[in-house]
Amino acid sequence: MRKVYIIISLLLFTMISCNFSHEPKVVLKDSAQYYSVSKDLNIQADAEYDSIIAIYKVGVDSVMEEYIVDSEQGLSRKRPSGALNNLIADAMRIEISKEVDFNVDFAMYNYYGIRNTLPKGKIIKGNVFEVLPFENQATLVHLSPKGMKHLLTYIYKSGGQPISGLEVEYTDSINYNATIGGNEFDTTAYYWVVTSDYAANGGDNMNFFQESDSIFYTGILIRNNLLNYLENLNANNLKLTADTVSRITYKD
Amino acid sequence: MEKNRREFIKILGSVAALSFVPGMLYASQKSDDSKIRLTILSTNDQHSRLEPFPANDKKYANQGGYAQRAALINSIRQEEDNVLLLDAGDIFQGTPFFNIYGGELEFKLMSKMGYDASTIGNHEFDNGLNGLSKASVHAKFPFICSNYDFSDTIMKDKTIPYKIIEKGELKIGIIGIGVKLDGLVSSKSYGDTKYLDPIEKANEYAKLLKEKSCDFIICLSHLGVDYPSEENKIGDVEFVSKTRNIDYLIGGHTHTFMEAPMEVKNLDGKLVKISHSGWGGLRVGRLDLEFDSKKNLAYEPTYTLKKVKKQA
Repeated sequence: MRKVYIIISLLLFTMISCNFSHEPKVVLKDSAQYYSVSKDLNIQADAEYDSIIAIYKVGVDSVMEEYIVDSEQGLSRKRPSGALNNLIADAMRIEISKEVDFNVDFAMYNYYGIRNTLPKGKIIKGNVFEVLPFENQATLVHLSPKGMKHLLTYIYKSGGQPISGLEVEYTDSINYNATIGGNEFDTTAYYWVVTSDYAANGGDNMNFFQESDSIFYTGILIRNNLLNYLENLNANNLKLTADTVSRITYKD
Repeated sequence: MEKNRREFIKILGSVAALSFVPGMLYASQKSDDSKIRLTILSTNDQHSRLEPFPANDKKYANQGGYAQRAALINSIRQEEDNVLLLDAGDIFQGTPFFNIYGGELEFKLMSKMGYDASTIGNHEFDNGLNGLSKASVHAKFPFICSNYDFSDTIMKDKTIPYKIIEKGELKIGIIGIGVKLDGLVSSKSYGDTKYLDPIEKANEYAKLLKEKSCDFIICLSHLGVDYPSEENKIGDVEFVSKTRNIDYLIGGHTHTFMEAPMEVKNLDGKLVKISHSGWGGLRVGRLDLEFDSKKNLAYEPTYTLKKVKKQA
């Protein structure tokens, strides 16, 4: 009898341990596809999700529907230079110079920090948020001659960055004619540039901002620079017009 | 003695009956019914597109949207038993919903859709580590990060380096690879997060998952597809070529639309699929797999180029 029970226990043990150890599996076949999430799917959107989103949307709209200004044209980012690049950099330079009551020499924003276009016609706060969604603050950098040299080479190599107060005509990455505030660029001088804290901290590989003797974080959001700039236009009964003049050019 | 013999036979009978059950199971595994299906659904770079793109959008008018995607996923779940739903990062940033609510709604609705896991993209740092930490309480799914070390930050213990998910009889291993933060994300935003070598960490954790007898290993990557003209910048293509044990890579960061997944040879010469699903919730990627028990196979699966290195 004892033997029998031993056999049974062994059998049971084997069966149980079989269930616990994992049986390795191998892929026999695969197939892949991509769904376009759109009305073409012929699936009714989930109403429960729609209603949850709608509740949150009330809070979004109460902020974002605010009217800011009318625009004569649609504005988009372009390389090496474009209307939206110019607008954002202008707003940074002009608004920060007002805020800190000090004329900064020029402004430089990062091209990839422009995330959407501005429409023609009515511009609302939400449009400005989509163009500049990041919580980046305007940052003043006192850039050394070496830093300036690297900045100008960076603009060339990256294919163009939004700038204001600075204009440059390139022969190549190290040979160029630049003007700052209408004056010829002085290769031995320090310059005050307003940029974003993102760029000042080396974002998009803009390490040259570290070649400076002072960096000041203003705490003022660049998006607010743009909002103030546009609201001022509207307060003066002006419409936004696109400045499409290229501030970065290449000599053949 | 006669009584004992009869009893013995009786007992033997019940043992036979018992052992017959696994025998039956074994037999049925040999038939077509033994095949186990797995459906892997994926998104990347959702960028806070909770609603469909606006009607006046030049490229994507009325496309995308969480409610539409939820309905799609739900319909697939009704057809398939084993569904994995994964995301490759950059859930945050891109619409005012993020500016106002900091990612709360994105995480809530992804949890509701039943996301199994996500990795962390560079835009998850946009409101700093505090912003991510605050929003993360709304996520009921884990953040898998194999090469970010958050141990000196507020995100400590809020991410995991790998995960094993059991679906039916399958064991699926998942790792997550983040993009280099220095030069992409403001140092102020990522604070004391340490970026660790993606290849080294991927190989380490994928090997561990293999040793834990995972049948299929997925890497969620936010490296971007490929940077052929940029030295020292690693994309998924190079990453796959320098790693082993990963079966499928779900990528993001470069907002790449694909007609079909790319196939790249890994260190062992095995073809690995790389899949990106555009951005903004415009696409949902789907990979259907059919598995069988290794012992049932008289042949190596045909989808590999070279023989897969034998498991230990």
